[in-house]
Amino acid sequence: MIRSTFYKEWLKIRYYVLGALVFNILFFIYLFFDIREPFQNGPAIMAWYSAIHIHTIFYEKIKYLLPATGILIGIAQFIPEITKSRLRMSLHLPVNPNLLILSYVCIGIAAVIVIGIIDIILFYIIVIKFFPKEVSSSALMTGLPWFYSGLVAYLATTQVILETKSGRRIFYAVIFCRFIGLFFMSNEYSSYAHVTERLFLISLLFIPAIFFPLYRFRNGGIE
Amino acid sequence: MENIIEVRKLYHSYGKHVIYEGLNFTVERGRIFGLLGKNGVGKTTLINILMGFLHPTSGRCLVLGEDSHNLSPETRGKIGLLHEGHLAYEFMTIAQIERYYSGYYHDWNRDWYYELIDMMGLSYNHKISKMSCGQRSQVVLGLILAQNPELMILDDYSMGLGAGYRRLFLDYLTEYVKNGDKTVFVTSHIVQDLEKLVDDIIFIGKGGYLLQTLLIEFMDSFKQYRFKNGKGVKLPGKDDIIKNVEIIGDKVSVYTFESKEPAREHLMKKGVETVDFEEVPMTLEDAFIGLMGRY
Amino acid sequence: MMVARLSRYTIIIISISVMGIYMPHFYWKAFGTSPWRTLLLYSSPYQKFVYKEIKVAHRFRYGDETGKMYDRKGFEELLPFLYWKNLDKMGKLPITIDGGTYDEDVIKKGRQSFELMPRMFPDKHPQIKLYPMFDTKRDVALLQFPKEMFRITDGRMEFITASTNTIDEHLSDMLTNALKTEGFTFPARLIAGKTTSMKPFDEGYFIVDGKNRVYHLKRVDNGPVCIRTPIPENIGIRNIRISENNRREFYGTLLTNSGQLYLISYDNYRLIPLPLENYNPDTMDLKMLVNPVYRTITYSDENRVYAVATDRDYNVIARYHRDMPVVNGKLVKTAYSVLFLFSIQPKPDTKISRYMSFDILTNGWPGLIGIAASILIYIAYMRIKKYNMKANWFDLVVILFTGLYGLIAAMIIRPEPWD
Repeated sequence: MIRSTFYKEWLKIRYYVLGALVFNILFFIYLFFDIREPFQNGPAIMAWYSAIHIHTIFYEKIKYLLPATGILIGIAQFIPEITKSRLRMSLHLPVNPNLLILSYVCIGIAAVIVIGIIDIILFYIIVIKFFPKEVSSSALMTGLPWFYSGLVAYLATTQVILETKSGRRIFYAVIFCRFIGLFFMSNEYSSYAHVTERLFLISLLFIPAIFFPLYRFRNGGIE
Repeated sequence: MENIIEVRKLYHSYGKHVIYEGLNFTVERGRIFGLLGKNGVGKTTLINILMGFLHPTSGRCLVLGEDSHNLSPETRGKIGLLHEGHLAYEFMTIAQIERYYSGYYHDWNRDWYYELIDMMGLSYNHKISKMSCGQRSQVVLGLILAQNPELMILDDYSMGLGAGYRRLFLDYLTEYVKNGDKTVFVTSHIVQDLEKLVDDIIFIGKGGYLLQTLLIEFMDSFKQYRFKNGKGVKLPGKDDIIKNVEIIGDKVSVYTFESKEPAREHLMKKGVETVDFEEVPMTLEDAFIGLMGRY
Repeated sequence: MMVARLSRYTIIIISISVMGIYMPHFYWKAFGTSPWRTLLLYSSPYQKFVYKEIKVAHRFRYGDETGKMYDRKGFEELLPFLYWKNLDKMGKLPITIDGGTYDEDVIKKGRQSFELMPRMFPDKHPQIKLYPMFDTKRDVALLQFPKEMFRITDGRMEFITASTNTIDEHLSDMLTNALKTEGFTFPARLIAGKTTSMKPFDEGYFIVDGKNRVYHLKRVDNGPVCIRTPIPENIGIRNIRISENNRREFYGTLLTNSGQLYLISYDNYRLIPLPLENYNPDTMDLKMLVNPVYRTITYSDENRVYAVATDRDYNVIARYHRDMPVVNGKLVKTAYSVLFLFSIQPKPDTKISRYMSFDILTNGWPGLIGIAASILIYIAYMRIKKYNMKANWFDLVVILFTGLYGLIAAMIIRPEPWD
């Protein structure tokens, strides 16, 4: 059962996941050249100074990469399910619908996490090439909320898509966008250090939140 | 006889728009049920309630003894659904979709699926999105047959199908139910197809009008009588006996469950002149229109 | 069923937390007025405190502690050391105060100012602990930026060359040895220095070692100069802030854990206590102005500004404090407390801290009125919509703890009619 579920979701999203992965990798190649530029055009120490003491976030361009990836995967996975209400087919399977949707979401989360981990590794490799380890760890600390917001963006997208009524959908979209905005409120490195856990924990609420739109879908989503 | 579907005092409304008020009917095991109704009378609503995708405002709808909107996974496994428009995962191929569904059902019979598929002569790697409507209906029917369910609910299986595929579909259904332990609940907008298939019929009309009957009984008792329409001929209105009145050219048709003479007497009593009063044979489609009206 | 019901509350909680951040924010945008900031200054010739109130950089009010108001010109005349250029234009320089005469040169050389904001403390802003060590050349006036930055590890000082991103062992050993010779205990607890080349000269770094001793380390003609300062080990150092100035009176400030602020004198690192009353380093923004005659130290939070004027030896001459003008009317404030039981502040004022905090601030007792009203509205709503109150009792609990936010969330994400 799990295998079938995984099989179907993978068939559905594989090209999008691979496409997103390629795009992410290309983006980091671009980031590499972007970070290298000041080292080639001026004294390296000034690039360091700017990064460490002017507090310039020189890798800011990657900010929205993972949330965009999360939204893409959410769309790829759930838009086909709600067009023509195809989700009906899944809901009729001899499986607990909550577990089924949870496994769908887990598959999407897994895809976002895999891309996110590859991103983090590439990011670290690039920064450590040019900067001391203190800067790389600070960059990771700074980037972590951005990467994590990718998961939230994915989950928020699935909710907005699964919700059946447009009014409520707009409400969710506004609230969830604002929530995702919480991960992007600072232009200072490492500034989420004290609140990362808190933010991450409350974001976990997005996982059980998926059951309510599903419940609404099951009880009158198709008209 | 065991009731496979049992609808009791079903009430449903969208806001102030009432669809059903106290709908009652039962579907017994081993029967083929046709649901007939014109568009807009809530056929889809009823199907959605039966399939468990809509929570009725009140009343009960039991399918295999469980609340239709809260079926256990085991019970869902015993029900095969064909969604309107032969819904399927278009991103899958013929082989992939079979592999996918087979993982969920214990007594999955892949031969039945491939028997239907092989008739089309398509490669197993053919994508469903690249199929015609008819081909897709084969895939969907094949999947339902392979699932070997106790109850099939088929929502407008004939939509978009040519005569050939429609016939094929019917042949397979007939074959499927012949042992008598399977139940089929079917809707179609092509009424004449059902004539060859169904045992029982449920007519639903506006405002929750419902008539449940055996097809044979219905065809036997529902009559159309025709008489001459001329200047000064009084036209009958609808009442308990006269279900419908139609004027075609210089003829007036009345539809009723009464046999010829009592019908004529009834008309006379109402002061209607019945010149050249005769019974007209009907197909199911004629009868359907006669009962439900044209529009 | 149960799962769906719990799930609904998770969405409600997410919505409430978002509303708790943005609704108060929008409220102040719509109904609040921007505050006046008050600057206190000590007028040297008149020996009294004067103030300037500023609203959004365009509106000003000038006055003094006796209640007298001034126009801009009159105000600036009270502060000759600050606005000496005006006097110069009018040909009124040099000026005479208390028998002393001050011309342009003396005024310029006798001026110094610095600011200390809570966010400058190490625990209030993230700082990657890598620092440039300037090399003072005795024969070159201009400071040149070094090619490397240093870190202090558990066992030594390491210099990393930026162009290669590798450790310069020679330099590392040289400076590590200089520290070790003076008895430095690794690791460092605090590293304080001004990391810019935009300063008149370089004093290097003040480094607190593992045993709370303060070392002064700098690099002159590519060699280390390391001094173990006599600053007492048990003073409880919270922060040191260095700010090189040509007056060479003090290196900078030292703040203790108990909140006492000192200047670190050039006179053998003697600590000069600043006579501050009611100073809270965690919430107050402190400014010190030095002129040839007096020092003025002002410190303020959002409600009140304090000032103390001292002579050259930091003996108190006068103190004064003034409340910031109240801008938002009582109605606006009370309505705020009634509507919003609490608000979530994602980050404090940038002066206070550079870290995100997501603090939950409660807005006082009037919030109870808001709760009561919200509950009544919700009960009426449930009655009208014929929702099952018993099944959805937890909605009321949510509203009880979150007031208006909970009401809005529960009404938009309402229960399903059959629940």
